[in-house]
Amino acid sequence: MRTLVSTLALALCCGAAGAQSLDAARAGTLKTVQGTVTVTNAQGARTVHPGDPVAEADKLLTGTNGAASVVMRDGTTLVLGPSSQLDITSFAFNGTTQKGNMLLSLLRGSLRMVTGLVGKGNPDAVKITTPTSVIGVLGTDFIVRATGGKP
Amino acid sequence: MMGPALVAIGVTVMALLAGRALPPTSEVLLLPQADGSPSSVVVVSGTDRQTLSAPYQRATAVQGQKPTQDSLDPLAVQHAYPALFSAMPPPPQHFTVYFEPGGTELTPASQADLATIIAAAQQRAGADILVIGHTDAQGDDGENDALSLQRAQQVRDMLLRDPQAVQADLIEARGRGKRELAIPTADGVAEARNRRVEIVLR
Repeated sequence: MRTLVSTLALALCCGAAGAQSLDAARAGTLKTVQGTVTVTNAQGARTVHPGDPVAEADKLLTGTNGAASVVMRDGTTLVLGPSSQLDITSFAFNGTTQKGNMLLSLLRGSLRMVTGLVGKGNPDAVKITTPTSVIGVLGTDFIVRATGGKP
Repeated sequence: MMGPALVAIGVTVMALLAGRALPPTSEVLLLPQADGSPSSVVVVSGTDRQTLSAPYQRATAVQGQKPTQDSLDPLAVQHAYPALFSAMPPPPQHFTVYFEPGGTELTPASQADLATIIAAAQQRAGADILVIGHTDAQGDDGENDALSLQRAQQVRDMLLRDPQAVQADLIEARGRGKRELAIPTADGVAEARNRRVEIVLR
């Protein structure tokens, strides 16, 4: 019994550590980076490359010639078109229970989204806001565009 | 590099000076799902609520105006948003490796498959790998949860042994015990095809 308990404890400990390396700082991973793509947060701005992490509270900005794609940890795919700003307002995902939530804000430009596990489990858990609308998602591939207003 | 940016700023300034700055506008366009299954989005703009449930339907909300809905031609969509199609990452690749009973030793055939998986990871820009361990229906839940995670971590370690494959922080190991049997069996049944680790390369 003691062996089993210690095996379990070891497994849980390592599992938590292994998961943490991705959970803590990584909501998703950049896949495509075309043209000028910048990520900003409270720590400042950084240019990014495929494989780099994106986290909650990051803002993704693309230049006039820019485009980027991100796969979130739940499998949601985001593609950002040129001259766009997308804020990852909140993101949570538990890889074991496969539950979580995602709130994105497209301030300008264009976004394509193919939903992953978070949306499939609970559609209310995924929301995208634009300056004029709130979009609720029911397991989908779609495009959002926000234009006008302050650049 | 500076030319187009300056032109864009110039156009914006001219539009503002001319008093022709457009009011904030949002468009939502539903695309068909890759597997053909039905889907929908709900667009709430102020007190108005629109539902899109057919591919290529579009909802448009201009601030201060009543929201409208129309339908677009598929080719027109590709032309209007080329980057949203060209920058789409390739779909994830799935691999499965199998284990000898009761432990974390891969079958010889599956050990040989790891090289294929590493080669595939090197082909993908910004690859991250999800390694999900499973057991067969023998044994109790706690032991199976632990064993499935050990199997996932064993595969993660083996993938990391090749320093060229993928960075450690891009491989996540998970154990799901006997919750997702590949071959449904009664509890307590030993089934080789359930003693597996699934590898999602994305």
